[in-house]
Amino acid sequence: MLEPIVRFFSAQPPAVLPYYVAGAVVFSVLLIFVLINLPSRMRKPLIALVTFLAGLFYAAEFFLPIDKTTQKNVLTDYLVPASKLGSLLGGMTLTLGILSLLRVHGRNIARLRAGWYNSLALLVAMVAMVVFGLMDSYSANATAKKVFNVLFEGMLINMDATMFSLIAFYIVSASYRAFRIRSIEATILMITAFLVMLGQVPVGNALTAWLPTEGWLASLRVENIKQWILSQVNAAALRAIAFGLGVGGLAISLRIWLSLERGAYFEKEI
Amino acid sequence: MQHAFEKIEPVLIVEVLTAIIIIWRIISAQRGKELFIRRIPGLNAIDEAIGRATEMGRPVLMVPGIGGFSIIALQALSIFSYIARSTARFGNRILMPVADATVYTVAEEVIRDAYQSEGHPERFDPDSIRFLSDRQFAFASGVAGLIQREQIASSFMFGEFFAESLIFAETGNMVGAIQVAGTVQTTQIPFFIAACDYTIIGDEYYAASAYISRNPTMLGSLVGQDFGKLLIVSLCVIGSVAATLVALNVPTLSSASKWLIDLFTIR
Amino acid sequence: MTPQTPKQVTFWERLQAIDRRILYVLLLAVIIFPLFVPIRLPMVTMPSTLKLYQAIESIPEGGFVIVSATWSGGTRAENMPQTEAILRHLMKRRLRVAVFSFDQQGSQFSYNIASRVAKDFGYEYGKDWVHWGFRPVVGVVMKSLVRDIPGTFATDRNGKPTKDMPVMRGIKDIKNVDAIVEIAASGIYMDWIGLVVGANPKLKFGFCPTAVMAPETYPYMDSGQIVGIMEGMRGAAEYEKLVNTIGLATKGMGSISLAHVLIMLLIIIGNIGYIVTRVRGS
Repeated sequence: MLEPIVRFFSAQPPAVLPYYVAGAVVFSVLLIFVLINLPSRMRKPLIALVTFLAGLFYAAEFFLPIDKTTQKNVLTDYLVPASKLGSLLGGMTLTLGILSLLRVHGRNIARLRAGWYNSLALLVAMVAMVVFGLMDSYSANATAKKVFNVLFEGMLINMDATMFSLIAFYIVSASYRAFRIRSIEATILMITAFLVMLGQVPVGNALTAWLPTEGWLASLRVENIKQWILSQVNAAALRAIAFGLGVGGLAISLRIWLSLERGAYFEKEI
Repeated sequence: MQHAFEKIEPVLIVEVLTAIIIIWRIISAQRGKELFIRRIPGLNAIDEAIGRATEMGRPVLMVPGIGGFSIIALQALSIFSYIARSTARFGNRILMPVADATVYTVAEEVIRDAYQSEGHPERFDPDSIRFLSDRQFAFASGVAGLIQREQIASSFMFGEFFAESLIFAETGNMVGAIQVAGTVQTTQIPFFIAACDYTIIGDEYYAASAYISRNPTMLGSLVGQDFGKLLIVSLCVIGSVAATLVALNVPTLSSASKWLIDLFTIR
Repeated sequence: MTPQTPKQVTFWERLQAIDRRILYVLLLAVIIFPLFVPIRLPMVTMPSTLKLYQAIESIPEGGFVIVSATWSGGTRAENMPQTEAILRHLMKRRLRVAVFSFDQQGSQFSYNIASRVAKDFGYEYGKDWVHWGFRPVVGVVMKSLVRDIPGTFATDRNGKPTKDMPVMRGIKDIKNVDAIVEIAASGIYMDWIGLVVGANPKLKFGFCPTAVMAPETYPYMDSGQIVGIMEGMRGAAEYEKLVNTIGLATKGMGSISLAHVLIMLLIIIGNIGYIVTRVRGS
């Protein structure tokens, strides 16, 4: 029954592709025209309907019975086009994001604001990455490929690693400041942290290496205490938090799906 | 599990029942039932942090995390809308760096609306909402730079955060900012607790918009969530008892217990 | 009004507020020192690491394993030794290996590592192992590979068709896969569990997260959805010991040990200052 629709949305041969593109453009222009001229009182119900149908698609795809041999139901084939639609929207908004960057930093440079040279460096880096990235993919120019390699592997990857390694320094200053035994709870927290830290590294393991590896005394080895804290105490707390988050997520999703959400933009006049 | 149909019972019982309970509580709240919500210190601190920024004449920073456009980002924007209404009233400068282009477009709209609803559209600066980068550490360095350059007075971090959370929080700490953070990423909560003044933990994050707005629909949903959690806790207790009965091989009861355990076991 | 004399900061108060720059220099020193003067300490293997090792050991020779390297340069220190250790084990066991990544950088890194390890074990590309390259859109790829692996990964990282490669012989869908090992710095294990693991009850799913991610994955090891966990650099060092090799992780354990000791010492110093100040104040 849905076969013609699946065929319509699948990849088309080059001969008919221009007609599809032209059709999509005409349809989009018409849709935008209709949406702009829609009376105010109809806009909210329309948004509610589209939201409901979009949510229903994923819920139905999940709950509808599947064919055991193909592992699919009637909606499964539409998952890829639906995700492509999401990517398309993301791509369009990325243009707005880049425009925001150009606006903020272009203005910094034009007005020679304090630190304008940083803005210039950012824009030059952005343009260089785009140009050499495209040349790397679509051109046979060996120099461009080398430059891209230097930019990507020589600079970007290492700058990423540098930023990540900052965390090591920050955790030292943050834990030095935070772990003060101001109360009984704080003391328990600190002792637990010490046990986990000692259990995590060989130097800590060496402290209790004299204890047997089998029998009840083995439970007192620091690595086993650490394992017990993580797999019993910590995992139990994490499970509880995960349950709360799962139910909270479900509640918000339901409110949005059924257009029951309130506050901020959800109550805005449109 | 790719489809619910491979084993529908546990999903149907837990998910659908929880959904029905939540909708039922929302409807009863909308009909005027009085509901109580406990105090959440992190959310109470929002006004204090904005007040401090006003006194110091320094900007307020809002970071919606590095996740995409999802319910987590929507919740963050809901909290930021409330903060923006306060900053619009007091005339604080705000900064909102964003890592996702879709979140950026919605955020700009939300903050603009907040200023408009407070009657100060002229105070809204479009440059205060900035798309920086969708790469994790490029975004992290951008935000850290903003914090240092602008010497922010208050920092609000709500959304999806990963390894960059400590970079933001510790940089904020360096400039002496008062910091409130909330995330659903359990691995990042310890970092926020170590470096921030207030941290919103676990599903408090999803309670934030209800807590701030006191809207009956949201409060009803919150109570429904608690019923949902109660359902899960009950299932945990029943499951533990059933597993114990199976292990003890109690006659007649163990086969019923085994059936119950099989019913809820999915991989 | 009499001018107030500035309050004298005592030694004990200073202990509570050591300049962060001093802390950073100390950390830098304790990380660099063991790299030049190696410190070898005995390693104890955690049950989580051992379980992953045993799960790989239980796969019959010639079995098919997918390795997903969803990490980038930022977490290289932890994820790179993990990737190398797991690939060494898989190739040592003569298993067929397919590597890919949901991250562009991870794709490049994992290809470099796999090529190097393959050379050590005489693995031939296309026959014994393959690299499917970078694959965006996690959910779509996972849902698709459950039903159709040759269709999902029709070409390798160089655009070469995979269907005629001997390594892919007999691989149609997830039922033909013995194990999946994900090396990641994110919560992607949830997607694997939710979308893939349940589709083949015999499939072994191993996870190699960064150390900070590890605690949240424990409940899934208890439930059997994850067979074993290689926790950060420490897990990689333990795994290197299990596969009889000395790699980056084993070499880095000295630095990690000293950094942990430094943090503990600083916390103790801060607390001594705090307690003495409080006692004197009261």
